[in-house]
Amino acid sequence: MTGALWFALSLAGSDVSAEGYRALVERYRGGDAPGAVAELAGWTPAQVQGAVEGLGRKAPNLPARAAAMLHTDTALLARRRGEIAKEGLHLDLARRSLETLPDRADHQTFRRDWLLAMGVYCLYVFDPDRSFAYLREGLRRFPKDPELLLASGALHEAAATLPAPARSAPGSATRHAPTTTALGDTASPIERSDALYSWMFAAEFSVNDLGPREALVTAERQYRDALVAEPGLEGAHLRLGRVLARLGHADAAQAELSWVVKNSRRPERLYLAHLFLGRVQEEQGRFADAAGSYRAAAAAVPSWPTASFALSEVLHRLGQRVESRQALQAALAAQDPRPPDGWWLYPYGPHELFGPPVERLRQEASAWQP
Amino acid sequence: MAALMAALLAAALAPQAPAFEASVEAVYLDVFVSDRGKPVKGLDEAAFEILDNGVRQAATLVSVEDVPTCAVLVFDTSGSVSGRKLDHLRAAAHAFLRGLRPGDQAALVTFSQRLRLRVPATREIGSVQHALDAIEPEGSTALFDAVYTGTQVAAGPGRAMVVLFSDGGNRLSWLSEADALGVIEASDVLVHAVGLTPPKPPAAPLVRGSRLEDKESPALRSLRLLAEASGGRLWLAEASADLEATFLGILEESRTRYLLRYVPTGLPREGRHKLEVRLKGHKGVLRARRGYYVAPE
Repeated sequence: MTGALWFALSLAGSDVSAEGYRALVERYRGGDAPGAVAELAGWTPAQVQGAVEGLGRKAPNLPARAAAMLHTDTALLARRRGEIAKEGLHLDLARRSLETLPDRADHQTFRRDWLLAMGVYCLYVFDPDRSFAYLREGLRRFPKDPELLLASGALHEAAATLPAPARSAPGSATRHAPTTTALGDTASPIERSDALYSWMFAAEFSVNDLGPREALVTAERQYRDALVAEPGLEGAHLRLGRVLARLGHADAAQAELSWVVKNSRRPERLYLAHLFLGRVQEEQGRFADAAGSYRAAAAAVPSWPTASFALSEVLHRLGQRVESRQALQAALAAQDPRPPDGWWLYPYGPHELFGPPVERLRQEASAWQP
Repeated sequence: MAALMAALLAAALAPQAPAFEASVEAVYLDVFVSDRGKPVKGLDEAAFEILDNGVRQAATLVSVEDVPTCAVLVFDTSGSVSGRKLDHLRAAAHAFLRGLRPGDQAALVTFSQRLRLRVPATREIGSVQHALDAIEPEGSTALFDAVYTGTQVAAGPGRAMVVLFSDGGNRLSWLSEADALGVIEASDVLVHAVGLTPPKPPAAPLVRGSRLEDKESPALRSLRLLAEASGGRLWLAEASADLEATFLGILEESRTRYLLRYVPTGLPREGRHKLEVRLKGHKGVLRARRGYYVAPE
């Protein structure tokens, strides 16, 4: 049955009371996640809040995991529909449900997966406030978790990607002078996880009142901590290499990026590693080596244009005008890649960390809770 | 269709012979002179003094009427350039294109995080106008990458000009601002950058010397530096409705510029060249590129 039909049926006689809300949570836990989500997505924010608060007054004994995932999936659906305010409401309610989970070992994995997945998600859709809050909470509870460290490092790296913002209050990730820019791509790898649609990317933000260089230094530390916990974490090696390059530590950057080139079997990682290596070489004036790296990047993922573009520019520097124009021609001919060029998605964080925990969360949402 | 486009791309980006000389690399300087905001006209070559890496050069004045223009429109089509803003941008571009002379060429490059050569340099201005109407906003902003692309598309016979419009700063370029400045330095292209005056916060008084005084945003600063490196300038429109007047102003200024030509003598050819261009015996403010770069062969 199509989503639209589900939606229509769900609204026919939808019970927006506290008991109706409870029924949706139970329905999600019972295995009808699409139906429950579609129905809740049709409620207005006032109806949702009224029902949740009404249930709270009646001492709910509500399955918290199912409630958390019902709201999470409703938030994701709201994003796809462009209902950003609704997305925020449901994310906040999901987190509130998470907080009702007893602080017991059997809930730790669920809690960790949610904070990681939604921290990564919020960075991807540019909601740095929530991303920061979730990842900070995650690291408070699981300070040595390599994937949480990787995600938090990426958040700091993203904060340092843009011009220096005005100072914000400590302990927050704050957007400044937001502008709206739709990335507008509906076929990203994250979409294949049936979850995300990138939409907003504001102009500037800071994390915890850090300036750009301080944010990069924090990112470096968190990536290194991630690698202490999991030395083979490719994403951490890649991002550490990039951050070290930006901090001016060329030799250390090359070491990390070369590790990825040597050890990774994933074309999209090899693409970025070669690309970033080329940039390091170019900044050292080793233009011929840089051209070789850019060619290797282009060979790793031929459909992505940035490597050809980078090659064009370095060949231009070398005075090889004919070859430079040919490379630019190749780049311009490849401007609609599916999935999108890895360089375009890189600032949005390690989105590959979203899918697996979300799938686990959905499965665990039906677990019994005393 | 794909094969046709590929052929057009290849033709557009094919290396061109030097503009005016078959055997000697001449340097062309596109210069603008103003006095109290108004263009100064009627100067001859004796009015200009050119120092190339400190060595005086003898230049001749080329009549701009005799030299066709290749105008590459490089437009930000990120998600924020939508609605009325996009309508105004299109209208401004149409007016600009109507003002070109027979023999002039135009091209259209649009950019978000994607770079699109919509129309390679062509005398068929109608094809550029047609392509303007098909623009849809989407995505982020790869400003510096777009500047590089524009300079490469513009390279060729005639006066090469890039009219660059962006309503925001760079977000997703592979190239840095320094890279883009280096590319401009290595080209003959004149860059006119068009930006929008940022909206003022409603409650902020403008008090000179206070912290509340308007400061140039990083986005506008980038546009200004890119333009000034080429001898052009940043044009600020108060609102998108003023873009048409701005674009026509660019066209009008291009008719009052001077084109100086010289063959560098008395100094090594390759490497960075610092240029100083001065007025002799005349009052006014002169704008010209500050240098150029010749790559080793």
